[in-house]
Amino acid sequence: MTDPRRRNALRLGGLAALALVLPSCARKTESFLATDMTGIEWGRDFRLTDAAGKPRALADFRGKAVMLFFGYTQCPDACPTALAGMARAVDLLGKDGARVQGLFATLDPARDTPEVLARYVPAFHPSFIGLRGSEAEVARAAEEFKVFFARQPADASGSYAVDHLTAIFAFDPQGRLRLHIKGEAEPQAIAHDLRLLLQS
Amino acid sequence: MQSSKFLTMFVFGAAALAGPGFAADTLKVDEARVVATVPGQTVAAAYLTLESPKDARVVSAESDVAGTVQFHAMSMQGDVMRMRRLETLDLPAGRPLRLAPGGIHMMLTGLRAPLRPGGAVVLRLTLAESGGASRVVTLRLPVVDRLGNGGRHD
Repeated sequence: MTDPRRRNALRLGGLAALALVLPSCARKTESFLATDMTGIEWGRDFRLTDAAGKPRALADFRGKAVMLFFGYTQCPDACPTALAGMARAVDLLGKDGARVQGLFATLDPARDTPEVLARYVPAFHPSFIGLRGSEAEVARAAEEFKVFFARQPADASGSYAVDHLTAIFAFDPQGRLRLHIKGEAEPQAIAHDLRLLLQS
Repeated sequence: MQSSKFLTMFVFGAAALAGPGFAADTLKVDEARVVATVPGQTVAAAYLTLESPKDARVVSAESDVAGTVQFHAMSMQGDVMRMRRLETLDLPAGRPLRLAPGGIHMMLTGLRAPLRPGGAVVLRLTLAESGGASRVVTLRLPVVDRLGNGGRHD
């Protein structure tokens, strides 16, 4: 009943409308590769001290996307992997890397002295900051981020392992906890998510 | 990958370094490497694949560069990393045991000096073989960069 020409025109019109809508759609639906934690009620702040003895809180890094990783320097595998991935991701961002802050909070303040942290953390990336505190302060920060950790009994040589959560927490430049990134995530994936965080 | 040629050569090197009476076919060693330390780090992880033609156990390991060498099994439960010490490494006949990131490693603790990429670490493994024989195998492991060959990103 409808004029075929009119139907075609409608179809064309529809296609044109789709073409207009699609690019913006594609941009909007670009989503995080890591687990989105937006809106979560915990992980709001920490009160720790950097290797130079300066008190540090999340608010110090407002305007930057922040990556926070809890670990210990005697960790042979998971921690260096996560830190190296974080550092590579910052480098992949090029100029925008200056708008990202990497933080390493130790779960082993007895062995991770300010001197150890001052050497260890910047070795991954010169901009990264190591954080520590008393046992109680470290435990409080871990609790705020629901970071499980358990020190294992020391062996005859006095060395011990610390079981712990290996996730990287990422915050947007407004200081809101947004992402739970796996410690072994590919640097490209981390950089992708940081780029999105910097736009938010 | 880029490192395979080097690693294969290393297997011959390991055999050559082994003590008298130790034939190249007794213990197969592959993908052996120690990950370079990060400044401030006094531990390092050694990874390698071991295969024995008969049932054997690695009962201990030592190195001049480290206070102790221990066997650790790392496991991920969800996102939680757990590490447990193993007393020995069991090598069932003909079954390769792969020590690799995310699993078992030899942990060098109390390092006397930083380990830099391009260097090497000598490890002495004491093997107990079925039948009661015990022998020491000396291995020379290259020190590799964390993000370089042998690492998680190879």
